[in-house]
Amino acid sequence: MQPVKLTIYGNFWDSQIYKGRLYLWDMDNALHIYDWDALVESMFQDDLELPLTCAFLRSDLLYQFSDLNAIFRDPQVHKVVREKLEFISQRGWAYSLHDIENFRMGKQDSPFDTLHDDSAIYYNNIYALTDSGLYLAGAHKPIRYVYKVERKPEKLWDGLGTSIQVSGGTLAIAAADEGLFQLSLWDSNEPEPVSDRYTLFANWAFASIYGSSDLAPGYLAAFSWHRFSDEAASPDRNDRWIRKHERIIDEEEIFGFRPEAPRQDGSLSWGSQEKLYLVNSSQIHIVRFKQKYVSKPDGKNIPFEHIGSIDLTNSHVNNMEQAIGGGVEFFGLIVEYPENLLVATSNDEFYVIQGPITQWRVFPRSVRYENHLHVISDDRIDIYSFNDDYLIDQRSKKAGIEYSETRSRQRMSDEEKK
Amino acid sequence: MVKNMLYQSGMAINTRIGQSYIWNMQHRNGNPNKSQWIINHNQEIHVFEYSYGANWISRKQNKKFSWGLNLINEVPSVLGETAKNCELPLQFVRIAKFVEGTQTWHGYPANYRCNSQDRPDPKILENWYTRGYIRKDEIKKVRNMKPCSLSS
Repeated sequence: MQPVKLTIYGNFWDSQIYKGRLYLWDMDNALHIYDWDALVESMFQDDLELPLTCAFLRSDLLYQFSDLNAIFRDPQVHKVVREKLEFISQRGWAYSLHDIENFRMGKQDSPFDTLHDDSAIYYNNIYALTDSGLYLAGAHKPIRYVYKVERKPEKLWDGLGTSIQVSGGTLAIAAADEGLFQLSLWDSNEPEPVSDRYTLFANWAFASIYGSSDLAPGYLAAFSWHRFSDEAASPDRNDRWIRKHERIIDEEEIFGFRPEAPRQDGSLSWGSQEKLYLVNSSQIHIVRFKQKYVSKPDGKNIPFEHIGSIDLTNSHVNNMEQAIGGGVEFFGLIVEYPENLLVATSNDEFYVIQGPITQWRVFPRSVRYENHLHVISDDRIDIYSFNDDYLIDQRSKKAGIEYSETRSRQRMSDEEKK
Repeated sequence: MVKNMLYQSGMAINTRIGQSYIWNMQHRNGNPNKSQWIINHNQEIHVFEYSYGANWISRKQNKKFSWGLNLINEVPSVLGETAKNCELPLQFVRIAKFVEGTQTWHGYPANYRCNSQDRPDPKILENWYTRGYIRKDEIKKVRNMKPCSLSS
């Protein structure tokens, strides 16, 4: 099934979606905030409410572990939903900024002085890496507020970086030649160094962080959770678990072979949660990561298991180009090339998005937008919704993060706390 | 003859924009740890003068930098190559970084792929984009230290 697509024309720089609001930064460094729910609801017509809701507002409804599971598990309902999703994937929606003016909740200068290098939203705060450091600005302010995002950000760090990813109250900061850092968002300490290896971007793999680069081999900064035996040593913590750094694990140990260094073979590795990937010119190697064996590996229980590969012969991209970025979502994996994006979906299909591409973003920490892929190009943002994954056997799929009931409930619980 | 002596002696010269400039020979003598100019001395000065005149200047921690392009027919052209000992296979460089010292400027080919400090300020990249020298996605790629036309 093709993805469903919604296009907004404009000269954009970055996007975020969070709790029913779409945040769009333009090239004048203005921040536009839209009522995303209302915008999508305005598209409801001719019985399209259900598929549009699933595609753009509530991706969690599609999975069997959602709160409507009894209904969605029914095969006949499944069939109807799929037909409706297929129907809306055949058409697209395209708007100018003028068209969606009625849904704009606010427009303001970006709280950050210059076009930022990367951003993340977490617990109603926007984090942004800029040329002058890492900043935090409160967001998701009530409707009655003129400014929905705080105008004066708080500076958290003087350092420079290239990308950020947040999970579990900690920000992973890829800082290229300066290495990899992590910053706990619950205390006021400076970011602490995790590795001095060249790190272009980083992704969370449970408690661990996978550091990636097209210049040097990737690595897993392995952490694990340990039960805290001495409560007195951490009296201000509600929980009794601490995250402990185990070791840096080379790409070679993870994938079982030594890629060329520097990366003249065009290879790149990255990963998120239980899936780690290494792409070269002909295929994508896949390793399942088992976080629980990080701290106590033995001959039988090792943290890495090869589970196959994806042949790129029919992917319709120029595989001879160096991959320069990667991402993972439930619906599949994304490989960024200099002039296009390749999406390998969990149902073993390829989808190519032609560039040049300014920015792309997925939302693996969200509850409702995990099927989204935002792609910003010269004159627009395309918001794609991939909707095949909910029919796929989650355990055996190669491309994409595994959706599990436990994780689903945990993330929903986190979302409620936010 | 006199010019050759100037090139090698490290003496500062006065540019047409009223700023003094010194050629840093480490970026011309094949030092494997330093990026190397491919353009000649006069072209280096011209790139500096143009960047200063265009106000492609940024300030950080009380230091002043000017960021240059070797524009030929309005297209950023190669001006140097990466250091031999850099992690990157030898590649061409199309951005110059000029640093204001004590009353004198000097510069070098900026390898933004390997050194985060060699990324021009976003406002300067925006200016280059507005003038049509680079594409919008290349602003992002430079800032995220990914390859683009300015690094090849």
